[in-house]
Order: sequence, then C-alpha cells, then structure tokens
Amino acid sequence: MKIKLLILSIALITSVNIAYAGTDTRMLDLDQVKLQNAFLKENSEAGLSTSDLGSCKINVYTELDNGTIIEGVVTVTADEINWFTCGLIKLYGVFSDKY
Amino acid sequence: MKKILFVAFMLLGINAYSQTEQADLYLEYAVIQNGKQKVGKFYKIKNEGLYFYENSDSSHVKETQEDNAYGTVYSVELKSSHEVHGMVKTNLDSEELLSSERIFNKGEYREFVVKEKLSNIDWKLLTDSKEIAGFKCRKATANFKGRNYEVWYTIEIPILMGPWKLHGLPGAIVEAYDIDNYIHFSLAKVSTDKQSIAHEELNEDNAISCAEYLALKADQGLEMSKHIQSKLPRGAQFNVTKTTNNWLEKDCN
Repeated sequence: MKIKLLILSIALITSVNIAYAGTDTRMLDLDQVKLQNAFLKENSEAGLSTSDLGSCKINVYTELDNGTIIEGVVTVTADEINWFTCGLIKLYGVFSDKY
Repeated sequence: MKKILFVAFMLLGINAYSQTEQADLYLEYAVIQNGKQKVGKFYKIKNEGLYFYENSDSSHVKETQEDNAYGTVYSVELKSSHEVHGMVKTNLDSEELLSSERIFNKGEYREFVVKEKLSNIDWKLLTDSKEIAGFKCRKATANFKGRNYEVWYTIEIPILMGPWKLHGLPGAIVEAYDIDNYIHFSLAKVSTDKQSIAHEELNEDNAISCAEYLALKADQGLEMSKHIQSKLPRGAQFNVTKTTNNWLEKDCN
C-alpha cells in the first residue's frame, strides 16, 4: 500500500513539474534573443547558479542584423523567482538564434 | 469563399507593387560586411541602378533563360522582400537614391524606404593603377557616409553607379573597401546579356529621410530593451548596459 502511494505521489509531482515547466516556457518566450553564457562573474561551469541573496543575473548580448549591438543584464529577484526560472531563461538562450 | 477572396486580394496587392524591367548590364559582387560574406547583385536598367542582396538558400528567387527572336533573355524574379534585402535604387535622371532598410521597431523588424538626394561624392582620383581580374584599374578615395573608402575602378566598364550607394566614378568599381575593413566589395561577375528583372517596387509614399532613418536606428536599443522586458516573467528586470552602433552608414553625407 505504501509503495503504491509512493508511486502515485512521484507520478503526481512529476506531472505538476511538467505542467509548471510548460507554463513557464511559454511565459519565457524570448523570441530569438540571444542570451550569452556570461552569467554572474563568479559563475559556475554550467552558467547557472544563485547568489547568496537568492537573486541571479544573466548577461544578454543581442546583435541586430544592421550592426546595432545591445548588451544588458536580466536581473531576477529573490522574492519572485528562483533558480528554476533562471535556468529556464538560460536554457532558452542555448536554443535561441542570433536576432 | 473568404479564403479565395483573401488570396485574390493578396495577389492583386503583390502585383501592384511588383515591376518588370530590362537590364542591360549585370555586375555581381562578393561582399564581406562586418565579417559576414554575402553576394551583392547590381543591374543597370537604362539610367537606373538596382542593387540588392539575396539569401543564398532563398527559394524565392527564380532565374530562367529563354531563347526568342531577339536572342537569349535571362529572367530574374524576386518574390519576397525577406529573401531579397538591402535594395538600393539609384536614379541618375532624378538624382535620387531609394533604399530599403530593416530596422527593429515596435517589437519587430520593419522595412523602411529611405529617400535621399544623390550626393556628389568628393572622389579624389589618384594616379595609382593596377590590373584586377583582367581590368585596368585606377584608384580613388573618398569619405562617404562617415567612412573613408579606397576604391579601384575601371573605365573599361563605363558605368557611374554601384555597388550599393557608391556612385560618381567614371567607371565600374572593381574593388572597394573602407579603411576600417568594415565592408569590402569585389567584382566577381560581369554580364552584358539582356536580362528581364522582376522586383518589388520600393514604395515612396511613406519614405523617410536619411536623418529620420539614422534616428530610428539609434532608437533600436530602447526598442529592443522594451521588447526583451515584455517577454520576461514577473520579477525579472532587463537593463541595457551598453549599446554599440556598428553601422555601415555613420552619417548622411
């Protein structure tokens, strides 16, 4: 009985996570904005981490085809968001093309 | 029924903005702009020059060859402004220059037609000479649109315009580059075969000036900033730290 409950719980948690990921992916539809790997200067190898305060920063490098280059920083605050959202923004950058 | 009407309306719209002309000279340029290679095509149509780039994987450019009573006629049909870009139309009669420019504006790339008066480029004709691709060439230098150009031209092809917005030399440009090596044009092909060319007309109705064009380009940083911010989830903030304008045209002169 306990095993059945455990399996059911795992299945539920997994489905909730998938739904959550799906929702956030749509929210984070960044079109073709290129997010470069520069992510916090004291970055981990994977380029994903949270600072001690629980916020994260992602450096953005966007090159338009007419020669304008825009550099900036996406800051994700601790109150609203977590490592997971940072990861999604970052992951989107991996798959995105140059604008 | 609505779909049929919509398609018919779209076709009418496309026809209204397309034009077929006879070109008597074709020059093809290998272009390297900001490290990226592309092919520039220039057609001389009477006293007009038509220059554009096309994507190499384009399926929208149709080239055909047909023999008739007057000889062989080559036809080029350009169907999409997305596959054909950077169009420049130089008119020596009206002394006007029209160009199609892509600018990031209101959340997307938009095409703008820029109308300028054909300026007299202050070429310094030098005595240096050399042979390039079988053409006897002479050197000229000038500042144009904020960049210093060195150009090799040949009077063996007597044409006053092209490639791009360059014009005013007594012969075709065989090689041209700016001293910062941002752009480099090399003549790769010459054809004097009669050619029929169909292309989308540059609509002058909403044309903007060169100054307006540069101002819109300067606003792209802010426009992109707004766009990125609009796509981010709650709690994420985007701030621009640096904008670099690495433009081919730095000014309007």
